[in-house]
Amino acid sequence: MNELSDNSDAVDQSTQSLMSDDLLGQLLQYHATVSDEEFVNTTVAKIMYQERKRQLILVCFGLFGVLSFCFLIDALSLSHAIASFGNVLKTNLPLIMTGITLTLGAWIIGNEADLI
Amino acid sequence: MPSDKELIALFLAHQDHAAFTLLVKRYQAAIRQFLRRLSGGNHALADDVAQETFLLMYRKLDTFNGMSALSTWLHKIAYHCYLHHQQKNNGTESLEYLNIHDSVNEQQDASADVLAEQLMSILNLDERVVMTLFFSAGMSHSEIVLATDFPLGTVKSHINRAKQKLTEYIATQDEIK
Repeated sequence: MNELSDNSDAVDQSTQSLMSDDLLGQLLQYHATVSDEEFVNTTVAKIMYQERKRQLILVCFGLFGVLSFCFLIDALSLSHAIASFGNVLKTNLPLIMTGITLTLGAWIIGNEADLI
Repeated sequence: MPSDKELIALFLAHQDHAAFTLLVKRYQAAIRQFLRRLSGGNHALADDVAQETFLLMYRKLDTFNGMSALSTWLHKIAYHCYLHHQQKNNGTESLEYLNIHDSVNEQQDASADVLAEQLMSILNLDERVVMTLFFSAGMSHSEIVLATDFPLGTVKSHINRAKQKLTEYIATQDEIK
């Protein structure tokens, strides 16, 4: 940064022979005033419209996402997940029943033991 | 008259559209004139990019940290929007407008702003940005550094080179007369 500053000082000195800053300032200043009413109204209206459009798109995407998710779950459970879960239940029913009975029995015996 | 800070706070706290409109009203002239100079006098393009600038201001105002003036921040957004627009169009529009300066002599009755816009068109984009911010928007070197992300030395050398070009160009025009 220091090197840049040193260099820029040299640049400052070398501009002495060029057109004066005052003259350039006069030449390049913003001369006419730019009318504002129409531009401001159009711009603000456009921004509000864009924002509303953006919010609407976001809401639509949100709804679309939720609906897709519902359909996805529905499709999955109908076609594959429910079917395979049913199969598991059907084939392992005796095992599951035995498991449940043993667990319940242990729980009851445990409760009885506590009572005693 | 409420300050920029007060208007920003109002807008951020309550989504106050009136406060936002007041900010647009306050800065639209500076931003549009800056963009007119950058585009070499293409007012329609300048206004389009200015609208884009204020749309970004609407969306990003909560990220404005107040380290620089709001004007500097807006000029930075406008400059980046203009660059983005140029990249999208491969700079064809600006090249079109670079030819305008050939007709400076024919437009003796052109207004001072048109003349300034035409003078700008003999400079390259970086020089135009720096010259406009310095001489037209009245920014200091450090503010230009903030608005353009150019190093200080680059800002000064762009100003120097642009002055040289303008001096030579005006001298040539005087000789032709």
